[in-house]
Amino acid sequence: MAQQATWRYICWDILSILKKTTASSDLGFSQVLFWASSIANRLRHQHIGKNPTGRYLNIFTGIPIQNVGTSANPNVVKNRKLIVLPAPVYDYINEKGISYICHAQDESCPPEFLNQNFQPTTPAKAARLTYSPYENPGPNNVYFYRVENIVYFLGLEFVNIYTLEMGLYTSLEMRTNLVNPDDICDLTEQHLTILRQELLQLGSFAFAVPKDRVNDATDAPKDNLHVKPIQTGFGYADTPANQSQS
Amino acid sequence: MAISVQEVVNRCASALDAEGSEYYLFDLDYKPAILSAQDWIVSVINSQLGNKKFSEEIFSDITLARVFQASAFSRIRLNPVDLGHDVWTLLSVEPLPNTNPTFVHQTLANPQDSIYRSDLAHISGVNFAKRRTTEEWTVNAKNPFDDSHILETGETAQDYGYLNNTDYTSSAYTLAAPTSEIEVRPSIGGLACTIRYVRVPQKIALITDFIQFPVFVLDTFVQATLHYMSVKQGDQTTLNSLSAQFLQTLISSEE
Repeated sequence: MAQQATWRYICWDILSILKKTTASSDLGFSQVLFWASSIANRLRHQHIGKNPTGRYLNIFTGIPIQNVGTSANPNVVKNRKLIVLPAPVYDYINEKGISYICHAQDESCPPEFLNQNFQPTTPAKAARLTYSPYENPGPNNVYFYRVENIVYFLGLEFVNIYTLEMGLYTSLEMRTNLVNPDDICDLTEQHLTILRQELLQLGSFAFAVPKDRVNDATDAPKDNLHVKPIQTGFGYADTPANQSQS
Repeated sequence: MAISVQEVVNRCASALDAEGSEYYLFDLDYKPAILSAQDWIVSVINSQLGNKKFSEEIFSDITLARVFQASAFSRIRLNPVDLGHDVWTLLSVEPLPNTNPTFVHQTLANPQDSIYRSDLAHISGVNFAKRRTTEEWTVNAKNPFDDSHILETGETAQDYGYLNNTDYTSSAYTLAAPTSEIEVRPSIGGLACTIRYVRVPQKIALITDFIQFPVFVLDTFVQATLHYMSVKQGDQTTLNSLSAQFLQTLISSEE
């Protein structure tokens, strides 16, 4: 099996290209890793939206159903069956970030998603479902709606059920200091060049930002902002706004 | 390879046209001038090194890598008595090195105690601590992108930072002199840390000694020695102006 690039490869590639590998570098590994993760998340989101293959699908089993006895604002309502998403998912229309939810599989049986998948709805649209006997929520026709990282169910109110299986398009961890940089960068290989290009663009933009935060105990904003006066037909213009007009 | 004091004396005697003469004596003339030249070069290199105008090669004979066990507060005291010499300047701080033999924590009397582990040799390391100023140290404590941050609990630190010598002592936090310590963050309390540093060169005493600078600064050293010897002769001497001119050329060539 081909060895895929790890986050360390990607970040040091960028730091090396930008010549930021010295001890006094003002751009660090963890910052590039943060940039890389955020761009990779966007690329993954775009890819799944256009091409929802199994490349980024993750299956979680044994997700416990909870029925809390006390409401808590916001989002937690007592006596409603709910699950907490085991990982953050990408946000799409009709909750496509949740590929499927089904009953947990019994041992040695075919997967439950062959029999029944829960359908997405929203609190605002759910009232319409009760008008049709074919759509009315029930144990054989379960709906779910998502409220932030909580998923509530319609149709499971009067049955005992304890765990579920979910297929989720999960996003990448963004608290990148907790990420192992030797983990494989979970991005399709053809996207690595785009990732590198975007990172370099971000890096070059960062270095184009004026160095105006030098604590040299002097009040010299013009020098620090590298704004050189230029001559216009009306005298000298020394502000970026005037420069762009001249 | 170090510079032999005899070689410096020979060259100075030649420049002074004093070969075989006893007009200039080692103890009275050469030795004080060599010691002054040594101090002068140390001070010049110090400022030039800060501006990155000298490479570390100039310290090849006096660069040391020593392993320390940090205190419970992740601080390290560089004690000249334990080391056997004074520390001139720090070159790098490398937390959690591989050592030979393998590091085993030693229990110390007080949490503020750190020790030089003369029983351990630095073998390799993958961690590096970046130097932070006092302001940066505090401002960036919770900056997740700074190498010395302490934001995430449970993080396996990839980068470290260190703060230069500071005296933290109080009535409840006592240390033997010198009382200043460097601090490494995220914490490496009780663990090993390699420090590469430059020791202050040994003062020469005898003509058979060696000056702990590399041979390529020999001519500079001779010129500096001649310069200090010429001070006795008055400011307007030919020797004074010549040696001053040499030194000026040297310094400007490094810029």
